[in-house]
Amino acid sequence: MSDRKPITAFLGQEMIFFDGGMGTMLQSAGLKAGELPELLNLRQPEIITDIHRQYYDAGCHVVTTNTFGANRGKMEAAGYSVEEIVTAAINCAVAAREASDTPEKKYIAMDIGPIGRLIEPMGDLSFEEAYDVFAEMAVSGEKAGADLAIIETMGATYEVKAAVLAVKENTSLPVFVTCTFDERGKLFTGADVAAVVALLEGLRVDAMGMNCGLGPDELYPVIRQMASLSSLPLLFSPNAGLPKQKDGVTYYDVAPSDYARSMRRAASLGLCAMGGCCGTTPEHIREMIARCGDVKPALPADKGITMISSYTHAVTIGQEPLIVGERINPTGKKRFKEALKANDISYILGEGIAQQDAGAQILDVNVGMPGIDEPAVLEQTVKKLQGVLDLPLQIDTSHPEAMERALRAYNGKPLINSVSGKEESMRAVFPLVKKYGGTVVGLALDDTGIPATAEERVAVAAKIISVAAEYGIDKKDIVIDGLTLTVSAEPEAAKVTLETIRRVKQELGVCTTLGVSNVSFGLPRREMINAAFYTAALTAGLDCGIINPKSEAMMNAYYSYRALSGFDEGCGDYIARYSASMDDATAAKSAVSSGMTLKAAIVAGLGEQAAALVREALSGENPPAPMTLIQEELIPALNEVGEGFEKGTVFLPQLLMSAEAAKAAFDVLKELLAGDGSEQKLGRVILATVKDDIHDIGKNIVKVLLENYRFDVLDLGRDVPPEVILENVRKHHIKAVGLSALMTTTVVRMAETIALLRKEAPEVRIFVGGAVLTEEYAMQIGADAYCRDAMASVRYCRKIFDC
Amino acid sequence: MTDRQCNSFIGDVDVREVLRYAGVKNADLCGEDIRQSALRAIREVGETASPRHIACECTLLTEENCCVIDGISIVSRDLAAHLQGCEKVLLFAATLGSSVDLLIARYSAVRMSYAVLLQAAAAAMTEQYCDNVCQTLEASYQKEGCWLKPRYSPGYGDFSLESQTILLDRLNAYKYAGITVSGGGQMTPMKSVSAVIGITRQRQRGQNGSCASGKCANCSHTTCAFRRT
Repeated sequence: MSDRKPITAFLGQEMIFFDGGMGTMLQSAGLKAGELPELLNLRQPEIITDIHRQYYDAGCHVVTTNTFGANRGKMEAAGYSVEEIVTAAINCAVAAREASDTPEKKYIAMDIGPIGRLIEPMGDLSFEEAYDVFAEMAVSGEKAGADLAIIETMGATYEVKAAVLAVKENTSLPVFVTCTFDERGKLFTGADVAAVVALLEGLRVDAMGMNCGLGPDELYPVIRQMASLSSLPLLFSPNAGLPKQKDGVTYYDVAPSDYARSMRRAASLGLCAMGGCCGTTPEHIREMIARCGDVKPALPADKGITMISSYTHAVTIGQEPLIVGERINPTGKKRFKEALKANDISYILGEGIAQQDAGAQILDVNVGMPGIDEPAVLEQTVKKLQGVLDLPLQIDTSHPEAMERALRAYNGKPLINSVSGKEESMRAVFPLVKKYGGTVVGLALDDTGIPATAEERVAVAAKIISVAAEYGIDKKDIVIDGLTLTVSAEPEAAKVTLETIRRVKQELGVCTTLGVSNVSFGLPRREMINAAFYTAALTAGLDCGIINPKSEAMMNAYYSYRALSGFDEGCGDYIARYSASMDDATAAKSAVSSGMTLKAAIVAGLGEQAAALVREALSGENPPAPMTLIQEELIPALNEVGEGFEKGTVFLPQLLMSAEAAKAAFDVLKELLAGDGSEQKLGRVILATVKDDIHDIGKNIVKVLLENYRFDVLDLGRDVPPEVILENVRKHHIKAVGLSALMTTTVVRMAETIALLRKEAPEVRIFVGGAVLTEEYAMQIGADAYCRDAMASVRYCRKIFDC
Repeated sequence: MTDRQCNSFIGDVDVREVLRYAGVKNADLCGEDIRQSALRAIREVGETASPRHIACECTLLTEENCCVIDGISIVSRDLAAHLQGCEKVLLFAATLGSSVDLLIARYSAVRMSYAVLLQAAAAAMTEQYCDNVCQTLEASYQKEGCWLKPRYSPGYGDFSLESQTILLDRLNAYKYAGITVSGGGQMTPMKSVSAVIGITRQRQRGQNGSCASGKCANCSHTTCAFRRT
């Protein structure tokens, strides 16, 4: 071991200078387009060593190894192992360091670049696979003698998270992370600066910043924004300007002296480290050091901002009241429990999206109920939710394993619900908060139970904050739940809760939350009490109200409070919401009074109206049997639209609108039928987009239509391997499988899937569809039927199920 | 490179084209509600998209069944025929970004009727964006007396989909535009295009001789449902 101080000891003490571009230098050394730069570490190490030497000579403290793309995929394709390439790369840097004048002050950063594939759900690489790729690089780097890891040029938050966890869990290297922003201040995957800051602070990296993409002037507003939000040290390594092209070669034209001047301006924002990326050379770095060497860096002040994030944006708690949607929770919800038991993820996603549309800014996610594998289901639910919506999630569980798996899978910095003042709870939860990042809800109760007075609850909250600090969790990452008890059982309950909220805000200076709806258990017209209590709590200083955003009364209270408390400038939001001419509910009522038939509403694709008409029909004096409504109104409507579609008088969007209207009507019936066993499905069908194909819109259209015709659809998703389809056919005794493929390349996978099913499950019927398929080709690959559109799939399934 | 003029091409997207992509064969026969939804879809995709593109001029040698682009051979008789008479090519890639994929996924989970319109709007917008970028590129080539041929993408004729990776690697398309290829060889974000564009001294047919026009005329998929007649 050397007596070199850890690089982190210099943060805030003196400006740390990183090197400049490697690619640019390799190009001038003769690297051709298409050649893998990492192979030079082995083939021509003297070139790499010389580049590092030039940077050390220019005055850099840190050089970055030539390992940007030294990941498993690329290296193995070239016939090398990651370890041999990384070791060779580090040896090059070590050789340059030993030849430098003060090797004890020189550092080697193991460079880790993006894999070049997107992680699910945006792409097809799994989070775990990405983690393994990065772990292999980091472990090889540490073993070969790197002093720190730099994860750089990142364009996706999920990939950043996989890389940071891989380095931290498998090595003891300090971690610096820089992402690549565009001029709008966004990553490729849409994350803004605040979302990146929240994530990286949560993951407790040693320094964060940005590199590549643009030049120092174009990135100046972006790094300035990062400096205003981050409580961690910043590293800034832009390009030598915007990329330009000449004769097929990309080049950058900001001169060393101009680069140095621009970097000096950026340094005054409070940087702790700086370097360069594409187009920068030892000359750029030398001039930069000459101009910025006297800048005294300072560790950034703790901004004290309570911030959580999704993969696109951050939400700041404590500025204005926020709505946490409470509906993803099985407690007291028969329909939700059924969906969980049946693994009906689309119902849960629908609840999430509906709450976002209704105004939720954060979604609580709780799937705890007896008889399910909570860790697996919670992890899966978090992954699926972040595939369809971009709200930060509040991970709600008392199961430590479920919490850890969900935190690991979450793409951002979540709210975590919850820890309490109980010793056991704090011991289980705080290490997870520390490791994965998050803002945690602290319940003001402890081993002695729920305190009866506000005084005692504030004391428990104070204890939670102080124990958290022992784990290195700042109080800005604690949100105290003052505990809502049922007022019908405990007359003083609401008063104590409100008092707790007020005092926690004032005396402890932390943010607050409440599960508002608990207050009204056992009372009639619960919404009235809930809304009044919500308003009172907001007045007392409630930051995060866990409520039902689909409740009109609650949203009325929310919008009114914002208007009255100066959060809604010019009452703009209030006016926008309440001055609208006719809302859906009014339209639905008018459908009922206008005498429109259910069949007509479905044919016209009017969902709200169809649902209202079903409610109306069933609330009359002599309500029809639900099956009568289905047979006499719904099915004939669907048939009429379906026939029109096949004749070409009804088009796809109209067909789907009718399907959705029918679904809205079915959903009303389903609520009434839930559990009484009279809801019968016609038969179970598997749908899947075949392996290697990530296009699923066609399959999703078929799904909507089949469900409409009461088929029980098991949707296996996209990019589904043949074996998984077979396994599900066996497990669920499936009679029909629908396969979709978009591209000529993936039709080959379809053929393989059919061959496997024919061999192992010869009784199953297979129907296929997709843009490049034809009847002839479908027969050639052994399908039972070619379905040119969704209605053809319905017709085929009705035929084989004889219905 | 990011399109700095933030999504300025949205206004150029034709709602009839979007409806056509969504399976509405005759836009005059669909209701006003659907037309309004299509307009909303165009707006929403436009607000969500982060369009980016990258183009790179390369040397070209054509043989009978093969093109050599910057020293890299691509076996394709159709591509070689398409590039007849060209001295150089532009490799080109463009994307609307992954946020558009997530927008479509969101509505696929709850309202498929709108998801198909978003999908159609995104497809039309990708084309429109590519057309606009190519027109700008062409304008600078015209100053040197050159014209651009229509974009020719992997998957056309015998120009294999596997060639996509060669194009994207040469362009460094992940670094400059965030375009990647999945394990199964498909581009992600899904609303992405890669293409080869011939640079020629012969004026092209079609409106203004532009590279963006006459797209369907040369395609061998004569039975395609979306073919323009």
